[in-house]
Formats: sequence, C-alpha cells, structure tokens
Amino acid sequence: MASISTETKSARRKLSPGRINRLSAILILLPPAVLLFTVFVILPVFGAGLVSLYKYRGYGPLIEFNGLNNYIWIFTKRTFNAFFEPALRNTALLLATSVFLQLPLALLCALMLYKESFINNLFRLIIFLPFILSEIASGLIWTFMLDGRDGVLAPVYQKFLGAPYFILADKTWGFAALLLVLIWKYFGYHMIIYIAGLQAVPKELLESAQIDGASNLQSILYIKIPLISYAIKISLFFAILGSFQVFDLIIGLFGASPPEAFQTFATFIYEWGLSRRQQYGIASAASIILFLICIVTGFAYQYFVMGDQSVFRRSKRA
Amino acid sequence: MNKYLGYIFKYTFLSVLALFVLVPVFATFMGGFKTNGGLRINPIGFPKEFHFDIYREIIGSATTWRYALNSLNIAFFTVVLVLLLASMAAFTFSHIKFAGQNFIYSYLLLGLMFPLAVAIVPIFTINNTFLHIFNTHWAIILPQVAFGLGSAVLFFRGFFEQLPYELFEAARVDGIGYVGFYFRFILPLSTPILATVGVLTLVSSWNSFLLPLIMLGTDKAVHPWPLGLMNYQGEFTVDWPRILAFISVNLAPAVAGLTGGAVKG
Repeated sequence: MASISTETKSARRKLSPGRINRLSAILILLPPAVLLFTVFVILPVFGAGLVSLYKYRGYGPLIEFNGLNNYIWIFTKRTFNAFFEPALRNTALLLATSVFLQLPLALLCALMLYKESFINNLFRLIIFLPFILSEIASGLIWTFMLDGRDGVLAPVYQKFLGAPYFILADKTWGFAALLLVLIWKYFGYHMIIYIAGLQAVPKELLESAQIDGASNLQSILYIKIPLISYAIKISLFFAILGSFQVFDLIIGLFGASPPEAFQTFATFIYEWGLSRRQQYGIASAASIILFLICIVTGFAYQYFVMGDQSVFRRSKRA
Repeated sequence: MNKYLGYIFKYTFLSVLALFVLVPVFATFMGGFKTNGGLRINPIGFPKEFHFDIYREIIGSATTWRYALNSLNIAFFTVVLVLLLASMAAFTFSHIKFAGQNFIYSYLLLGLMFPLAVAIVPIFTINNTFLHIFNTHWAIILPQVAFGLGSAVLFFRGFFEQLPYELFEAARVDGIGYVGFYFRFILPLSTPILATVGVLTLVSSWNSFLLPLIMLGTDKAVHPWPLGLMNYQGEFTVDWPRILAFISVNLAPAVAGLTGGAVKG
C-alpha cells in the first residue's frame, strides 16, 4: 500500500497518526465478524470433537469418558450396516445425482437459454422458481404430488399398477423420489450461474468461429464450455458441499423422523443428537466425520481444481 | 429444415421441463380451492367451482401472520448483521495491510467449507447453557449470521478490490480515516453487491428450518414459517386442501418477489 511504503521502518514502529488510524480501523471493523464466527462456527467444531470422546446424554457435565468408542461404534459392522451405512449411501447418491444429472441438465438449459429474449427470460424465470421456495414447502408439495391416494400421480399409479402406490413409504424407491425433488429444486440455481458465465463470453469469438466454419457443437465444446470453466467449477463446488447438508428436504418429504433407509448425514446427526436417540457422543462423532470429509474435499477441490481461482487466493493488492 | 427441427426439439424439451417445474406449484395453488372429494377426482387442474373459505380462513388467522412476522424479524436481523459484519471485515482485507490478514481471511472462509449440521449439536449447548437464548430468535440469527459470513466476505472483498483505488488515496489526502472511508465511500458505492448478498441471505434465512427446529421449543408464538408449515401438516395430516392452501400462502411472497424482481430486471 502506497502510504506504508513511503514511511520509514522506524516511523512504522512508532505510533504515528496513520498507524493509530489503521490500527483502530482494524480493531473496530474486524473483531465483530471474527468473534461471532469463532463462537458459532469454530468453537462448535472443537466442542463436537470433545463430546465425541464421551458418553453424553445432553445435560450435566461431561463425565463418562468413552475414548474412541463412539467412532468404533459407528464403524462396527452390525451397527454400521443398520444406521450409518444408509446415511452414507444416501449422501453419496445425493452427490452423484447432483453432479452427474443435475449439473449437465443445468448446463444444457443454460446453453439453450442464455441469449436475451422474452421467451428465454420466461423459461429462465420458471426454471429458477423452485430455488426460492423453502425446502419444507417443496417437500410438502411433493408429498402431495407423489401421494398414492390423493396425489397428482395417484391416477398414474392406478393406471399402470392397478393399485394405489406410496413411493415415499417404499424403502427401495423412496429415495429416488427425493433425488427427483432435489433436481427439481436446485437445477435452476446452477443454470443461472452458467448463464451469467455464458453472457460474458465475447460475441466476436463466437462469430469468428462461425466464419471459420465451426459447427454449433464445436463452438459449445471448444469455446463456450472452456470459457465458463470458472462458473462450472464454482457451481460444482457448491453442488458437492450442498449434497452433504441435505436436511430440510428429507424432513419435508419423509416427516420429522424418517426411517433409516431415508436418512442422510445431516439427519443422522440430528436423529442421534438432538432428536429421538439423545446419544450426543455418537452424533458428535458423526459431526466430526462429516467435518473431516468436507474439509478434506473442500481444500483438495480448492487446491487441485480451482488452482489460481481458489477462494483462498491472496488479495491482489495487499 | 434442420434448423426448424432443432427449434422444435429445443422448445419441446424446455416446455416439458417447464411443466415439470410448474405442475407441482400450480396443483398446490389450485388444491387450496378444492374440497377433499374434488381434489381426489381432479388433483391437478382448475377446480369445478372455487371454494375461497380455506384461503380466507388462513389469511385471516393471527397464527399465519405471527409466523410471517417471526420469519421477517429473523430475516431482517440476519441480513443487516451479515451485510454489516462481512463488509466491515472484507474492507480490512481489501484496503488495509496488516500481519496475519491472509490467515484471518482464510479462517473466515472455513465457514464455506462445511455445513451447519456439523456444528448444530454444540451450538445448541452454547445457546442453551452459556448464552441463555434458547427459544429466542437470537438463537437462530447469530449462528445463521456466523455461517453466512464466509461467502459474504468472499463476495465483498472481490467487489471492494474492483473499486478505483485513487478514490481511497484522495480520501486519505483529505484526511479521511479508514473507518470514515468505509462508511462514507465503500458502503454507498457497494449497493449492487450489498443487494445481491442481501437477497441471497434473505432467501436462505426466510427458508431456514434446521436452526428454528432445534433452537425453538414448542411455543408456536415464536415459530417462523417453515416450522409453521410442519406444525400445520402435523395438525391436519391428510386434509390436503387445507395443507395446500397453507403452503400456497407461504409461497406467495417468494413468487411475488421473484416475478417482481424479474419484471424490474
């Protein structure tokens, strides 16, 4: 910064008016955010780490030290298969659906709709709509859609199966319904990210490619997609982290305490900690596992995929 | 010829998608005008005759407005605090140089890396045992703000770095301090990014469910909308027209906001 570089080193060590000004600015502007963040984001992670080593029912002091037994319990074959495995599998399904179905669909729509026109704007608006509805409302809307007796799809079930069918109670296909709702709710959001990227692609580039005889597909594959790589990387990052936190949709669709077959990582933590089971040690151990998965994925993604465009990049100026 | 085929394919595809998106919302809205029997015969289209009594009852009910006001209260303080705290912090990163600033910046971005669910059990204990704010809106607002800071700081720093630096140097020459510069220049010049981050924060706060579920007790007087929806569904389990009407009333502000925003551009 200009004002500092002109000062000499000795002047910097003394409390010059400029330095007092700068120091007081930092002390006024920075601590509120750092303090709040520490109390509600960082301390809880340490808290979960601590509680994960105890048997704890949620009240009174931590007494019953349990070593790593909560973690061992989670990964012991019998209990793992019964409780943690479904949550893990469902989270993986969410991740795969999000990345391999939702994002390509969003990209396809963005390529179709990025140019400005009345009809395109209308389609964009419609496709974006579910994103702003609450997850709970979305879940309830789809419980009605899918209901075997009164729902919109009831006549369809009747026609093809000859009997009412309750997919949300079907342990095999219930989660597939949730995956459909996931796409319904979020693909418009990713589409908007891509559209913003596509609109910034220079027109001259596309025109000159056209003059050189590039086909539509070629200009998509070799110009548009490479030029919106930042938008794709960012939306992929949010899709990956988002699939680790699906909670509200599950509750909206399957009710307040969903069966094991429909649990996710987030509902597992809720169920074992704050809801029915009151085993805070186990919930905290699951929290720490989720934390580690997220942190490792997140940093690896920022470092290897985002590279120079990482959110952790140093400020250009400072 | 080929081109027309392409258009036909494109708009058929988009129309199917648009139906996939709209049918559930439309059926929900129409469902509120139907009777139980009418809904079963015709779950999707316009009702044979419109019954307004359910909508009238819901809009006239004090509980509905209580939910809306609670959501509004939580969203208001969440948005104001996220905008203020994050932009203040981002300003120190973009305009002041100090030791450890990259460390503190990365520290705040950790909030982007993992979901609230990780921290939810200890946050419950902190609110309950140490801050004694259980069953108050602050128990939702404070953690929500803390988890919103990461992305907000990221957006703000990027924007502040784009502002012309000469402005800052001129203000310094005129004897305006850092804090004064933040309030008198940065904030007024940043309305576009403040609006963007504000709307995103507003939507996520308005829709948030996990924190209210855990931090509020069974007293409906403090419940926000999403909890209200679950309460209502618990009360009227299979009375679909009622539930659908209640959902529709809940969706109305969001849908109106989106269309309004789109019309304005």
